[in-house]
Amino acid sequence: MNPLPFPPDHVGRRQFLRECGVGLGKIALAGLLTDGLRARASTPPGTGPGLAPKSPHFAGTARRVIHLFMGGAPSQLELFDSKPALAKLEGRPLPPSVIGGQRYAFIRPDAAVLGPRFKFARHGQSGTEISEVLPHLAKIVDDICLVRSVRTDQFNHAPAQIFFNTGFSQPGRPSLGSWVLYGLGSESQNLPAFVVMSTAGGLSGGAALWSSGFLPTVHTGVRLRNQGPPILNVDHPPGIDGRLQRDTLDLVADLNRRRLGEVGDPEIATRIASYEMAFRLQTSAPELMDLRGESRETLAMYGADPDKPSFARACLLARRMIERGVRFVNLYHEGWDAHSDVVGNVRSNAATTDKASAALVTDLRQRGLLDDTLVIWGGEFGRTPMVESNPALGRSQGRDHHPQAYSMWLAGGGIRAGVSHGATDELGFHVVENPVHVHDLQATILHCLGFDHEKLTFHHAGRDYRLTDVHGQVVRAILA
Amino acid sequence: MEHRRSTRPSTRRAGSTLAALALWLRLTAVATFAAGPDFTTEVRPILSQHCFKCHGPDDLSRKSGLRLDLRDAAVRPAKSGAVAVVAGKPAESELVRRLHATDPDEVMPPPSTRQTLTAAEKKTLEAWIAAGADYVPHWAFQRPREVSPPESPDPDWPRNAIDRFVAKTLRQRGLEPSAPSDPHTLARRVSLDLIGLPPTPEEMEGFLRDPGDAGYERWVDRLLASPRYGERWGRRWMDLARYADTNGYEKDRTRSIWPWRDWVIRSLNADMPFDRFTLEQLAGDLLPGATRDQRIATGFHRNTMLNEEGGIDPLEFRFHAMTDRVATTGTTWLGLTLGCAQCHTHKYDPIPHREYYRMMAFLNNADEPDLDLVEPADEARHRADLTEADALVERLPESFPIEEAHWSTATLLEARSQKGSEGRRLDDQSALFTGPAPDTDTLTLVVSTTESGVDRLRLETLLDDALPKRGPGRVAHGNFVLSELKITAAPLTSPGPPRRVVPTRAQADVEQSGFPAGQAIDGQLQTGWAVDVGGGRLNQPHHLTVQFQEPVSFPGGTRFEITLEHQNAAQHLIGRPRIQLGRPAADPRPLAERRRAAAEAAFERWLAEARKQVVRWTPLKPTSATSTLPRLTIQDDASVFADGDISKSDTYRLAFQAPAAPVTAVRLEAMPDPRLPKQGPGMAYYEGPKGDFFLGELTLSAGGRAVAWASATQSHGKNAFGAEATAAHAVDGDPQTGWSTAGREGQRHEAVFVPKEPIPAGSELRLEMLFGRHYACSLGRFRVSATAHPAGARASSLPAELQDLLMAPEGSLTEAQKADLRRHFLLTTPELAEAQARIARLRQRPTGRTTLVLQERPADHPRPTFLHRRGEFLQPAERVEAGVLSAVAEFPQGLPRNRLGLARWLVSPENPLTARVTVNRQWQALFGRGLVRTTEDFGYQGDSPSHPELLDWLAIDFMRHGWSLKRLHRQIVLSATYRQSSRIRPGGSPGHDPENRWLARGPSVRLEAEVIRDAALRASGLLSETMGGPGVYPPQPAGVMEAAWGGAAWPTSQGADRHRRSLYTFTKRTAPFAMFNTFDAPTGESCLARRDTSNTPLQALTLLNDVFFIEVAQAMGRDLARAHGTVGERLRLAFQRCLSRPPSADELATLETFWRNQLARFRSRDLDAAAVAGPGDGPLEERAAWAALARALLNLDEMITKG
Repeated sequence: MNPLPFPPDHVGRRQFLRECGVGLGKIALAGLLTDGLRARASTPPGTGPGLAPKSPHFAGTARRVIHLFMGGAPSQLELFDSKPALAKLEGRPLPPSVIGGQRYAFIRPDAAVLGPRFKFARHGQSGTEISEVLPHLAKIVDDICLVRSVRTDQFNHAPAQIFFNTGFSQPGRPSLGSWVLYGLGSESQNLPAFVVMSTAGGLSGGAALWSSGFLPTVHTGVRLRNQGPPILNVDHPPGIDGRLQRDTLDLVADLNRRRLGEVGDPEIATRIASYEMAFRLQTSAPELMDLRGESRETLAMYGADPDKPSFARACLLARRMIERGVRFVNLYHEGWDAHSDVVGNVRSNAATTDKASAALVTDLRQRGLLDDTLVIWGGEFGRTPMVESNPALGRSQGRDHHPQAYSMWLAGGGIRAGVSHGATDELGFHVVENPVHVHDLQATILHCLGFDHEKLTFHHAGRDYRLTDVHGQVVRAILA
Repeated sequence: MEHRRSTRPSTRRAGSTLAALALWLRLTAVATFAAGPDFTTEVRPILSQHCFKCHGPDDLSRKSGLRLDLRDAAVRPAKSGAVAVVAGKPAESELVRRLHATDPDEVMPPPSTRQTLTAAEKKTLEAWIAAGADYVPHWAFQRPREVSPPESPDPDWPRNAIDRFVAKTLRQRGLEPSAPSDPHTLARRVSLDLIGLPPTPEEMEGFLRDPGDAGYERWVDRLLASPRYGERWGRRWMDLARYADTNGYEKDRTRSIWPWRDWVIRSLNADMPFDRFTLEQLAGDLLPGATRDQRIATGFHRNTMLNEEGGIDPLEFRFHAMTDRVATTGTTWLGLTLGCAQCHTHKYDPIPHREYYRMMAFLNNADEPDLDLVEPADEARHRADLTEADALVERLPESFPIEEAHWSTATLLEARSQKGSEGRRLDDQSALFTGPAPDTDTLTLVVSTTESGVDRLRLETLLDDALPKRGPGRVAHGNFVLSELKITAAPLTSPGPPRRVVPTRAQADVEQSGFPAGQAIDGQLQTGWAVDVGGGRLNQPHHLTVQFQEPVSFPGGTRFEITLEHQNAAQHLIGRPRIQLGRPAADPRPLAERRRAAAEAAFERWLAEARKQVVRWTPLKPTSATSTLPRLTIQDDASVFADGDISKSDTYRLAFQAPAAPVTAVRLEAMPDPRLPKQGPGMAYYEGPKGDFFLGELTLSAGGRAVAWASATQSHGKNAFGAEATAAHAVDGDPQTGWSTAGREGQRHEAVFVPKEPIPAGSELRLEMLFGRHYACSLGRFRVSATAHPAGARASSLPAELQDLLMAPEGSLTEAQKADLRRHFLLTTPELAEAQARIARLRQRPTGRTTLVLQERPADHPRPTFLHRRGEFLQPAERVEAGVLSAVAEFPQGLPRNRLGLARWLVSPENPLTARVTVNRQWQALFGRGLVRTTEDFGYQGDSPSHPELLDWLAIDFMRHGWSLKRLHRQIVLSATYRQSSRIRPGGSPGHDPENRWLARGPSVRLEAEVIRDAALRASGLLSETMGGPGVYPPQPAGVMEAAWGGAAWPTSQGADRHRRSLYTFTKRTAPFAMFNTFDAPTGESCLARRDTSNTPLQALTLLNDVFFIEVAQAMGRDLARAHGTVGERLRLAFQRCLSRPPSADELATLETFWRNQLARFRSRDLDAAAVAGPGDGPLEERAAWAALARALLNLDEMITKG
């Protein structure tokens, strides 16, 4: 155990890096000193100081992550987890022995059962059972690993979304993407390494979902926006053309260099580099967003209109980001919160997401990117086998929040393809086989990226913190 | 390290002779043994990691009574006689024997812990025992030591005591101080530090006239006296307080707590002593005769987040807020990571799990109301308004509408329906239509009169129990649409062909928007008159008056046939019409008198009607009132008041003595109370409307049997979300539906329940009420009454006292009582709606300004605090009493065990941490790095102080001089240390110290987000110096709110509010202000003692392209284009404004080239000058060129750095 946050040799390492021409902010240091992580100073830096590429604890199977976050919590009973027994019980309450002491957000635990609303069938060589509302996913089931036994601790949106992303239910801790960036650094010189997009509604968890928490702020996710400039302020202001921008940057760099000579503060060198990176970003961001180079087939496969913001376009952009060295893409689709009319909700959200999600996996596979890109699809919790109806709130035929058991799928990046993992009881209420807690998933994701989740730590407020807190087991059974 | 060796052992009898003796003995003992391993860095971590869990501070989990974290305990023989640690004799020490034991029952740590010590670790412990088993107390838990400032090696350099400490360390490190900063740099540095703004060129010029010591002191004093000082230091305090203008989490709705922020600014400007500043914020409400300001100050701990998601358990998130308060108190005052002890005893610091919750108990005993902040001026205005309202009430009768007519009720002869509705003649000459309501219908009323000269007709639409919601219409909600009203007349005696009566004008008491009265006589069936005017006035009787073209008169009486067409909307039919006929009546009295007479007559009619409806209610005073959570207190007036915490499902249980008479109806009054949120009657404080309640189910048992209900009525019923919420919903057996009175908080409401069978006298009554929905909304004050009136009763909107008056026999009322009734009539009768609205406006309490405060719970109803296993909300264990951290300082005798006691303990001279932590934070603010680098952690895991003696000296000096922050700031910035040049010595050179730990140079730090923005505002001249008030919305790029829940908007401010100081910017937790976020400002989610200073491309993009910085550059462009002087002079001015110094010749030449190049491009139309220059007058191309130049200056590193 080393109680000191900085190993004694850090000043030397910093000098070394500086002499390699890499300006490093004061804060950048912390990022280089992760327990067991080694800076690869010979490779070019990523976008932003403190983000030099680093080697993980061991060789990982994934180098990048695309996380398709289904905000609002999709109904696993309508999508992934076929429960014919529910149909037989429909209209009757669940026995108290099943419910236990569970608290619910809106319903009483003894609410009547609601049978599954869609038909399920087996698909692919794996024979994975999938609902009829996911025809596109059905075609690629052999590429994914469906986990039907995910569990979480939280049963409200904001805390659960924050919990999935940061391992803690309150805002303030680093998000998964920040941890990955902290551990691996950036491989892109022209784009942010951790990019966040959202389509559809606003997010319950807000900016806490991509916060760097107590990690240095350079690890915060950068939002790529649907309307206007994709990155805040990446466009030239009105009237400023490329040449004026270049002239301005040259003037600023010139004066900054003189200042550096006078006061000798290495932060100035970093700032000069930051401005150059900013200039590159001004070109690379529009290039990223310009889908004219994509073939008609590709656009059709995703169902993306190149000029219209949509989940499909965001999926295609995610692939383009991965190709350009972005490390972690978080793509939020909010809208699955089916307290009323679960049928209409699932149908419309599946129509929005199914095709593009499947296309993303297919596209990555065709381009040889799936092997080392981990794709994650799922929400913050599941939905109850019981019906939600509340006349005072005008709700009927919905499902409430259900933290005990839900489904997600993963693909690529070293995850076993064409398998299903875990199972729930015949009512879909409890996990009865191979439970996978959210902390386990986090540990597994980090494992795929080459990290021992117990060793990827950051010293803060008197102790070493990690994404998985004091929990988490790598789910080895789903590793390829 | 020497400070550790010389500190006292861990006795707390500080200063006693005994302690001094012990110290001497210990020091002697240390000297006797060979130097062992360092306790702090080598030994304690091993003990802490492997032993303390079972043999440490936590008495709950301590095994075998052995404690190894205190020397006295470790060297004492155990019950078995074995001694764990025998100083100097490892071989005799039980601890060493157990380390090497092979028997699994003996070896330590036990195999079950799966912890093993390495051989090296075992050796370290042995060596430590061999060397005397010296325990070194942690420096931070010892009181600061009195030290005299040392002699400086260079007597000329120091300016004050600080420098003598710094010089000593520099000498020890073989370093030399840097030369003093040049006056420009120093003046800018200290200005940015003390007020967060750069000096203007004019101010700088003033300083340069006398840049010597005296001039610098004056400069510093001027800054300390500036109101900008409080804004600058207030923002830093807001970081610790995790300030925000929204609640956080999903909904993240706006809250009003800015009055606390303004209090902080005022207090800092007034240099409120820091100990006082602490007391007022932690416990202002508990200070004797607490002032309004002192209560506002308690907002510090109300800055915690509030989750308003529908599915949450409010008490769970209350618990999270409590853990945040404990952690924040720890970081802010103690520099301790208390949060680590939430789940278990702190792993490193001597903070037992139990003491964590004892600290929480101090903070946990408060209610969390909104404090209404009516300004004295508003209060005075309100008093004047009330007087005016009273006068208006007196004059109300003079506005009473009078009819220049004599009215008489027409005799109903016949009531017909075309679509088969059943028409029935009632005794009062009205017709009641019942049966299944057809979608459309034509009703015909045949009436007669013997009056002559009839020239007007009034259609009354009356209420009836047989109608939905009592009518007046027959559709579910009680509205109707009268498409057309047609009249014919014929002689009564000799019926001939009826003559058509031509209507000329129609008026009604109320007109629904789009359905005015005139449409009932416009000859068109697709238009009509309707009465839903909102505000709960639908289900009342209404009327329509129609004027005839000429009087109708037949000798011997007239027969009128009135046709009521209903063709517009399904089932919108009149249910119970009655016809009045009128003729002109000449009255010679003055108008006012006639109006008064009419009002009085109407009042008498109302009184007679009201008397008929009123019943005698007997309040039932409960014999017991209990609930699942809130405390119920039975009051003298038989009402019950609830206080304390509420949950989403609270059940109230009341028992009553058996009533003496049979009960034919039960009344539940929901009563307002000033102690409730928004005056009640409910207790909802989040998610729903404040003061709302929702009675999901009410059950009454009489003599042990449940009472079945025949009907339920309410004076007002409204659901805050979703469908209806009537009294009937409270007795429908479905707890999800219920009675609620949303929208009329602060008012009295009642529900009346009529049993199917009268409840026999003598039955013992038990009432159970369930409150709750997707938010906690229990009832705050209520009263239950019963009546024996044979006809049961209906809910009334009359206040209970007036209902009682109406029960008094006619003629027995005093004038005053009658006046009360009259006043109520005048204030509610629909004829006076307009005048009533004005009175209501005048009577409205001034609102809008509230702030969140703490208020200690009543002494007889404290909130218990429990230890929570594993720190989990759902695992409360035993109850704990308030108590402080024993490792820090004793709780002084005589202090109350409440927040005030806690605050006094924090700032007591015995507390070793608060003054040090506070001083260190000021040092960090000025030097960019604290004397203890880990500002937030003074525990074992934190850094050791770089200058321990200086830290102690400053802390003691700070306390001795009245905890004055201004004095401390002055002291530091006047030091030679602070005034050094910040030039960094290159790597490899002797003075190379990248972190400036040893202070051989002045501070150089990137400015904080807010200071960067404020400096740009100051440079451009746009800065608004308006202080305080609600948060403002300066411009930021569109799209920042894109991902915020619920489509939150950013209503960009206009005018000067765009350019207020940054700390007044509205702070939304889930969608932080973009520029602040980019420059490392916190988001107000948790206490922050130290900000990052990152350096990223996104910052570059912000300064280059953000709409705000463009606005600033354009403002500078306008100014510079207008300024006098040569280009060079203006370049100098621009430079000076941004960087507070003149440019070098080189810099000037570079800037001029840039300016000329751009000007040429603008002039040649190569660039769009109008777009770059922005709005304004003056030469366009020049303005554009200046704006482009200013933009470049704003991007310089020097602009955003304190050099």
